[in-house]
Amino acid sequence: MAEPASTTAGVTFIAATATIPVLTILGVPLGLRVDLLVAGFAGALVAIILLNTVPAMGDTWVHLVRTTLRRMAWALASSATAGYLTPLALLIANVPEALMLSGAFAVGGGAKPVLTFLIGRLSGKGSQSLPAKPGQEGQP
Amino acid sequence: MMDALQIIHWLAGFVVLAEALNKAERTCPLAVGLSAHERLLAWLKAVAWFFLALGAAGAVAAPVLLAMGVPSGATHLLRLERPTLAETAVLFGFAVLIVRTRVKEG
Repeated sequence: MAEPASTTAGVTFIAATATIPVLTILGVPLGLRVDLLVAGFAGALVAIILLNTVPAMGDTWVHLVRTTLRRMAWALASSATAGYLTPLALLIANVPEALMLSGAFAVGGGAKPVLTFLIGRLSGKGSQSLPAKPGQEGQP
Repeated sequence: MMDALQIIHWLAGFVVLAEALNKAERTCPLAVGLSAHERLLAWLKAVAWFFLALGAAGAVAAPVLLAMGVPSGATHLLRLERPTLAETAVLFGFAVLIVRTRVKEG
């Protein structure tokens, strides 16, 4: 009798994870795949270019450095979000392996809306926006 | 242990990545009211800075990924081993041009 919990996507994901190395820190596996991180980073770059997700804050050097660090942090966080959420989507939605990198690209590009939607769904508050950080209330 | 070539490669990658993220945000290829020529220029600029950011991020991430247990040659997307002199020279040249432009602009 076939095992009820096993799916084709799950088997595919396990096979893919076995061949592609995952990141580790001090021997602890993080479960992040390099290819998903790269795809998520590319998606974050496209979002910065087309959607202006991290707008400039001013013209001084201080503002420039702060904005640059924010953009780097944004791209890094988007990559990590894509790295962790895309395999989850693969398992839940039965997405084929061929669309894995496309999914990571999409999640990386829309990391904030995707996280907001998921948190809203899981917490039962719908897709409400997350509260803004102090000092960023006026930013889009 | 990183040698001088790797350190220069990493620092140049960091400078190019920072500038590429700034320039990429300033491009508006989908802006309303652009002529066909202006839109083409905006798209070319966006594509150029996109790939520069991607490549520079690879230079910045390579030593981190190596330290995090990803073996060199394990993925086709990144080559994690020591950068060559040619790669370092290209990236360093871009970084110097960026610094030169910033110094010129004040």
